[in-house]
Amino acid sequence: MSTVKEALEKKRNGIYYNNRVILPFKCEFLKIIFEDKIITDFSSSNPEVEIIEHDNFTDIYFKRYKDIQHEFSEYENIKLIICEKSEDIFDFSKHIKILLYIEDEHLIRIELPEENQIIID
Amino acid sequence: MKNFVPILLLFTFSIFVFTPTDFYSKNLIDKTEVSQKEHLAEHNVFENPPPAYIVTPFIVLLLMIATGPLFYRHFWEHNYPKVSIALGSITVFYYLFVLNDPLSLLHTLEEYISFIALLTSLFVASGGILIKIDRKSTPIANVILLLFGAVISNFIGTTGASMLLIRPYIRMNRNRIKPYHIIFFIFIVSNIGGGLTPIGDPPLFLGFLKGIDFFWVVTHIWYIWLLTIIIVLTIFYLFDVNNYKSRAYSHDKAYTGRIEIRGKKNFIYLLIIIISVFIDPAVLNFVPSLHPFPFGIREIIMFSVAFISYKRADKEALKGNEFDFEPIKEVAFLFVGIFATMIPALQLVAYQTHKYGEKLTADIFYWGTGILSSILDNAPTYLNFLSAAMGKFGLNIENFQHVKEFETQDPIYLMAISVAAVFFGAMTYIGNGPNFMVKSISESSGIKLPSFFGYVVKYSFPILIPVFTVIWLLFFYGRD
Repeated sequence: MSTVKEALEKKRNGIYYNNRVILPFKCEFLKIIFEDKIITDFSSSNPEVEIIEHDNFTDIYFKRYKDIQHEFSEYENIKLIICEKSEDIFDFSKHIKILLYIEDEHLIRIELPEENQIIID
Repeated sequence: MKNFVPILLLFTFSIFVFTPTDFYSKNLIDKTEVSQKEHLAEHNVFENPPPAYIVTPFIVLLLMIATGPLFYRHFWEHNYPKVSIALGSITVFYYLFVLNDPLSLLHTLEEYISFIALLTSLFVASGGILIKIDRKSTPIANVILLLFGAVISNFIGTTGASMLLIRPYIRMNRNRIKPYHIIFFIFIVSNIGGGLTPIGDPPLFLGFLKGIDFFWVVTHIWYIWLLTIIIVLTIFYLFDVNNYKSRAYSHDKAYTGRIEIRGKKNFIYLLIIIISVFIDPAVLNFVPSLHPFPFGIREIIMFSVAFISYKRADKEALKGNEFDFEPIKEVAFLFVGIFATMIPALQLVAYQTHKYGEKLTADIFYWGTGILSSILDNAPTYLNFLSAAMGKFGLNIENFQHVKEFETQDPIYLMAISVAAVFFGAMTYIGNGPNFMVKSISESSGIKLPSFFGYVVKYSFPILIPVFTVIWLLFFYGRD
């Protein structure tokens, strides 16, 4: 299983099919910002997203959408605030902010935000 | 969403196409005749106002804008373009085939195209400019930034100033940002700030096109503007000091104090847009009119600048701003419905103000323009109340000399209408175009903002209404 840090270091891509996003790591989710929608409820009853962990990857289903490809422009992204499984989730300095850019051919580019990109914890 | 764009174009141009051809042919032959027709239409409205029930689509649209994101968000997100166009179509159909009044629709279409051309061009050009401010987010730094935004909104419009500054403002406050930061930004930069020049806010621009001197607003309103800005900034400062002191920050980060700007060439595009504001046959005699088309050379320049500035923008600036057309699309779709459905609402306002014009005082013009500008578009609201105020003295808004006479002889009414139309746009998310854009950008950065009602109940009523009441008592109360 890959950690978030390893995935970022190896510049691994995620992939997507319709409303399913597949990330090449496992983590604790704290916040997902999808367009102007802020998602913090990851319980099973949440109508927005469903997260399923597998041995080597994580699925996020955006249940409100049939296909996420058309929701994002070239410069837009899905923002995640997450924490490594092994880290202390209560320590804010351990929270990781990452950006998911939707590209062609089912690819998702995973990046750390640049200095001027804003993600509010 | 992009699938809806052709529908928007089809909808707007259907108004143009369905307008009887003889109307255009007469228009082309004699522009004076158009003016007479306008007066005739105006008199028809005054004598035979549209039935009240035709305002229903407008009320439904406003209610849905208010409740959609709150109670049926998913449906609203995916269907608001359809809802807006469907409700707008009811009014369009009624005016075309029941009232047989294409003139009102055509005027509204012209105003809509002007409105969206200005907003789109300012949005795109300012979206290619990335400002980085490496300063500590002290309350004083925030006050200075908001004051700067208020001042420059008079040069690049409230839309341009909002788009230029909202992201640096969020970035500077990223460690302690709260909803009130954004709400006060909407109050000051997106609305009240733009009250000094016709470029600042669309209603003042329409007044300028009707003949009000470009510098009339600043010379007559500057002290009201200044006092309002000082009061609202002071309230913000008290909020911010409280927030600043109550939170524990790591103060070890070193700030350079530098302000870095990427995409500077877009300032040239902004300048072109501002200059193009004056390229109108009503302002410069040598500018040709493109009648019967519902747009002019100015709108062509604005859309061209939007296109060129986007194509030639600094990619890093676009990436840093996470540039996307969604906010402007949202405004375009919602406001096409608002502009169409509010035609009868505005005509009923015109009818009522004309009927009771003699009894109307500066108080009523202030509160009437203000309350309606909170929920209607403030530009046509301004024109209707201006028309009513001039009607009090037997003057006609369509007559350039009458407007000149009115602005010099009875400034109190024009002051009340101008102040209220601009300031009260801050009362709701739909009061002014940039309000929605600022909300959308802030939420996509992870800042949870209050709902439509939350904004009004928690912020507008307790903060703005007392401030606007003070302004009324000091400058307009009992003045007629």
